[in-house]
Amino acid sequence: MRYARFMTSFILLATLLSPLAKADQLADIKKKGEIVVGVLGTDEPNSFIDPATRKIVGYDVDLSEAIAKKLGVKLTLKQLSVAARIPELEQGRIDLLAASLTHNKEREAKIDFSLTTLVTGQRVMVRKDSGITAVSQLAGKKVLTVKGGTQEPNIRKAVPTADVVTFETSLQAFIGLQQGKGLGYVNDEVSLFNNYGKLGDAQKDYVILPQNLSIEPLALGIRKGELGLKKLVDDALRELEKSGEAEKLFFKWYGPNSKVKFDKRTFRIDSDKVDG
Amino acid sequence: MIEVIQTYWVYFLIGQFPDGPLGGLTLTIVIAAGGLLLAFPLGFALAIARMSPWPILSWPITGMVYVVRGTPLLMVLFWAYFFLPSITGQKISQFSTMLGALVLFNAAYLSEIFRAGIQALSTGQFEAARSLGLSYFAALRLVVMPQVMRNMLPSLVNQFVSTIKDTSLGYIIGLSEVSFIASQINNLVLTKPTEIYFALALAYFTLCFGLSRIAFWLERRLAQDESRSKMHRPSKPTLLEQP
Repeated sequence: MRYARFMTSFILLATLLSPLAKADQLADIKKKGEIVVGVLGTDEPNSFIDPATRKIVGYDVDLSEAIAKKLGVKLTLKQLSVAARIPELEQGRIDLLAASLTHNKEREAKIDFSLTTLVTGQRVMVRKDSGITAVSQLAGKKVLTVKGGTQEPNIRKAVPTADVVTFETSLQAFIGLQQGKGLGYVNDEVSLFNNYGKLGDAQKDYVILPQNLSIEPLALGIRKGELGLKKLVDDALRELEKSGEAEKLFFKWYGPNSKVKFDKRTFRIDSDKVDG
Repeated sequence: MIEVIQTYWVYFLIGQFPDGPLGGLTLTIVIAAGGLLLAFPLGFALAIARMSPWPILSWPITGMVYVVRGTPLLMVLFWAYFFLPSITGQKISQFSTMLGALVLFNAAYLSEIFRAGIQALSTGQFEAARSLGLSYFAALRLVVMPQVMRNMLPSLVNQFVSTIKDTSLGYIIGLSEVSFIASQINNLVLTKPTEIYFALALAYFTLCFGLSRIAFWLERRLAQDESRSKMHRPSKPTLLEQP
């Protein structure tokens, strides 16, 4: 994909030229009777295709449904590629982003974020026979991860001497680990556990190191300056938290019965502030 | 692998339909067919315009064909989907963007195939038809086109097959055609990339091979018609006996 960089700059250019939002988006949504939410559909368990029903399901989808219900409108999901997430929101093709989106300071310049909906760490998976038991032992070794996310800068910060090799998708990096192209594979905790869950019999050959490289707050993306919509989304999320529904959703998708197998929830949906 | 097929075959064929947008192999076929059928008359019109004696028509069309031929489809798709709406304020869906780009590209390529076919035919054909009193368009339709179509068939099939494969570029704008669906399935299954992409390759091959065979059969039939008409009227030379 030699085109990747070219396209990124292209999206940037398009974004610069895009006219500022004119009308109040909240009023538009209510008038249409429909809220269009952008999801990835490729990131289990945040949003993915359920093979039995061929519908997109997941934590992001359940949150979107709650927001649509609060608004009293129909929910329409639109599947997006990772690269197109923010431009689609800025151009108004979608009303809301629920696409495993990390909330960081850099992105705040372009879009607004809802309250943090999920906090996930970033960790490293290694092969057991590599003998590596701590992140620091990766110094001078090849480490694999996905290009363009927050994973690459985080591993470079944690282990400055590591030889980081990046791939277009995290799946390619994971396959690289299985084929011995590197000793470690960096990703969000949630995705790592999910990948691990799919290894089946091969699970005994891999281990996820206990240290967190960083803490990633995920949130919903809202077009810049749409304060009315942001307030409503945040209110809906607060209600979910208060009624205990948010906790139920967390355990539904990330709990002991899921592939991710978290046994406790270490965050609450109550803040839209981030550190990094 | 059998388990993967059993779980995902419906998704592979029709995507999220009917609860969501149509996708998968069906969408690939719909877009390829639409792209070809719509491009056909447009390509013909472009060819005629390009060869027309009036520069006001031929120059801009020639320029357009050169521009389209000189830009990658992938870039045009990206342009149409992200850049155009930000200038015009008009939002176009993924499906219409893909279809529009394919029609534009196919029309430009087809127009060159038409032009080659028409120019390969001796101008005497057209002149004779005109001198017999046929109008410009009647001469094109009744005398030139039937012969041109026969000669163009192999190039047309080439273009059609390549269109089917070009639909896979739609994944860049998130169009849920069959390659996109296959990569989704791969994402979900995670442990069987070789098998899944082999199935995808097989699907494309079956489509393209099928189309090639139909074209081959058509070519043979047309050739039979031609030789039969020659046998029945040996004394009258047919229009097709031009070099």
